[in-house]
Amino acid sequence: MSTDLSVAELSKELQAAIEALRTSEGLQATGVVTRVGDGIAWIYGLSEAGFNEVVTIETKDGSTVEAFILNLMEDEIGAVLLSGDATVVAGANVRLTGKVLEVPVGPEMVGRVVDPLGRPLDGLGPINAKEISPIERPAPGVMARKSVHEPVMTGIMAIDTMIPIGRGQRELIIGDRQTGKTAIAIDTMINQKRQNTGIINVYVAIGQKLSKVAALVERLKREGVMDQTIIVATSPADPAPLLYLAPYAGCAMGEWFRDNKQHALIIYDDLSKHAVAYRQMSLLLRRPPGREAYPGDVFYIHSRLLERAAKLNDELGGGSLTALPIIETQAGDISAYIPTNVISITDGQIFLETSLFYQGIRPAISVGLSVSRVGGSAQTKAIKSVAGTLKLSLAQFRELASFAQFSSDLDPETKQQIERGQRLTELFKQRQYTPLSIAEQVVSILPTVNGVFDVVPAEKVHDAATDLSAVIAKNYKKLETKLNHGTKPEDEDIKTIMDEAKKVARSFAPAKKPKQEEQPKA
Amino acid sequence: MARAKLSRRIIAQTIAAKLLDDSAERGHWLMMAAAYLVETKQADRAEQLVLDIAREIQVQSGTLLARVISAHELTTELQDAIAALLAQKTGASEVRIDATVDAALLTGYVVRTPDYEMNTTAQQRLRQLRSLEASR
Repeated sequence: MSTDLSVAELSKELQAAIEALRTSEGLQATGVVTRVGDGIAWIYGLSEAGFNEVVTIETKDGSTVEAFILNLMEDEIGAVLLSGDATVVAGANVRLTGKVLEVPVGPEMVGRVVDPLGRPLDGLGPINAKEISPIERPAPGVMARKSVHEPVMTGIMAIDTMIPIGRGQRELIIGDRQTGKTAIAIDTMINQKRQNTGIINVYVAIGQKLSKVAALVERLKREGVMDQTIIVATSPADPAPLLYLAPYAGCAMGEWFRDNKQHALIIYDDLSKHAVAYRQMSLLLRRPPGREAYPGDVFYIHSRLLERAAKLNDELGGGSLTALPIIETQAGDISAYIPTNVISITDGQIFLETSLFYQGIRPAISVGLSVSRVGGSAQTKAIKSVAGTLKLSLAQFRELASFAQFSSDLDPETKQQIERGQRLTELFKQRQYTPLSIAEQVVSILPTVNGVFDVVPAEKVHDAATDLSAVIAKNYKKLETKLNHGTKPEDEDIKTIMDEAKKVARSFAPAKKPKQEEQPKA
Repeated sequence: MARAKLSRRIIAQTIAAKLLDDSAERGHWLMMAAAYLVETKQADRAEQLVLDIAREIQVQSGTLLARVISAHELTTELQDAIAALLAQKTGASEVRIDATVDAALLTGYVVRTPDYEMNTTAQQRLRQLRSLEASR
C-alpha cells in the first residue's frame, strides 16, 4: 500500500474534481430576450441554437418558462412560448437545453388524458412512462413499409362496405360543421373495443371545446373504450403553440405502438384548427403570408404529420398506425386551400354532406364523393363478397332518384332499381354509438342486394335487418363467429341467411288487402 | 440605387476590425455606431451591439473579453482558473477579465462572455431547484 495516500488529500482532490465538474457544467450558452409579446419571445445571442430546440427562459418571479425555436435569423431568434408570456420580460436570460421537444410514450399513456407535452389533465396522478420520444420524427422510409392489407373496421356499414379503411391508411373525414365527423371517429374507436381488435386509439383534440372533450371521455368510459385510448387535449384557450404541437405529440404516442408490433388508430380533430394555429404563429413570427394568409409551408405541416401513419413490414414487426384526420369545410367547399391540401395527402376521403344530414341520412356520407384509394385490399373476404355491387347500385339509384316521384309511370326494372336503392339507403342509416360487427353487416346486406327484402317497406328495412341479425346470432352461432372472423360465407351459409331472411321479410311484408266481396244485387 | 442592408453583425465586424487596428481612431468609430443606433431607433440595443463587437474581436484576434461579477473580491488564483476554463471552452488564445463586485449576489459569481454565461450564485441555484420541483 502506498504511504503517500492521505484521506485529507484524497478528500481535497475529490472536492476539487467535483468543483471542476460543476463549473464546467455551469458554462452554458445564453441569450437574452429583447422583446416578447403574443406568445413569441425574440432572443439575442444563442448562436449555437438549433431549429426546434427547446430553450428555458428565466422569468421575473424566479421560475423558468420553456419555449422552442422556430425562427433562426441573422440578428435574432424567434422562440415560441409554451406557456403564458405574462412572466417573461425583456432582458430575461435564455438558456439552451440541447434537446428538442419530447413527450412520454408507452403503454403507461393508455387510459390517460394529457396535454401535448405529456402532462396529465385527468387528475389521475403522474404518468410514470419509461420512455420518451421526440415529438417530431421522420416518417418510415419506403423499404420499411408494407402495403395496406388488414382492415380497420369502423362498424359503420356505409364505410366498411364501400369506403373500406385499412391499417396504415390515411382516410380523411371532411364536411361542414355539425355533420357527424367526430361521431364517425368515436364509433370507430368504440368498434375497436366491441370487436376486440386490440387497436389502441389516440384521439387528438385540437382546439376543441373542453366540454366536448369531457363528454367524449365520459362516453368512452361508459363504452369501456377508455382502457385502450389516449386522449391528447387542447382547448381554444390554450396557446397556439400547444395546438400546433398536439397532433405531433399524439402521433409520437401512436408511433410507439406501431414500432412495437402493435396497431394504433389516431384521430386528428381537426386539422383545420391546426392550420389556423400555425398561421397565427407564423404571422407573429413575421413569416411572409401566402394564400389565405397561411404560411408557405402549411402543406408540409400536414404532409409530414400524415406520412408518419404507415404499415410497417414484417421485419420491423408489422405494426401500423392508421390516421383519420378531420377537416371542417365552410359551406361544403372542398376546393378550398386546406381541404385540397389534405385531400391530396391522404389515401381517400369520407365526405359528409349537410343536405344528407338534414334529410335524415345519418351518417351523412356522400357515397359519390367519398373514396378509399386502398379499396378492397383492406376489406375482409366476408364483406367483400356482399359489397361488390353496392356502390354501383347506389350510383344508379342516385341517377334515377329524381324519377322516383313518377314511379307509377316507370318500367318495372327502373322501378325495382329505385326501390332497391331506397332500401339500401335506409339500411345504411345507423344510430350513433351502435357500430355493427362484420356478421351483422353481411347478414343485413345480403338479403337486401339480392331482393329478399324487396317486400319489406323501405322504412322497415332497418328493423328487418336487425331482427335477422338477432336470429342468426341466436340460432347460428358458428356462422356468426365465422363471419366475424372475416371468412367468406360459403354457398350453404348464404342459403341459411337467405332462408331466414325470407321468413323475416314475410313478417314485415304488408298484409295483402282482401278482395271486396260482391254485394248481392237487390 | 438599392441600399445595402445593414445588419448588426456587419456593423460589429467593421467596428471590431477598427478597434483592433491601433491606427484607427477609436472614438470616431464608436460615435458612428452610436449614430447608427440612434438613427435606427435601436439605442436600447446598445448592449447587444457591445456583445456583438466582443464576439467579433474574439473571432478576429482570438481574444475573449469576459465580465465577472462576484459577491466578493475574487482571488488572483480564481480569476486565472476562470480565464483558463474560458480559454479551454471557447478556444480563445487570450482571455481578458473585467471583474466587478456586487454584494447583492450574496454568494457565488457570474461569468459572462458574448455567448456563454456561468452562474454560481445562490439566486441561480434557487431557480434551478424551483424548476426541478415544478417538473416533478
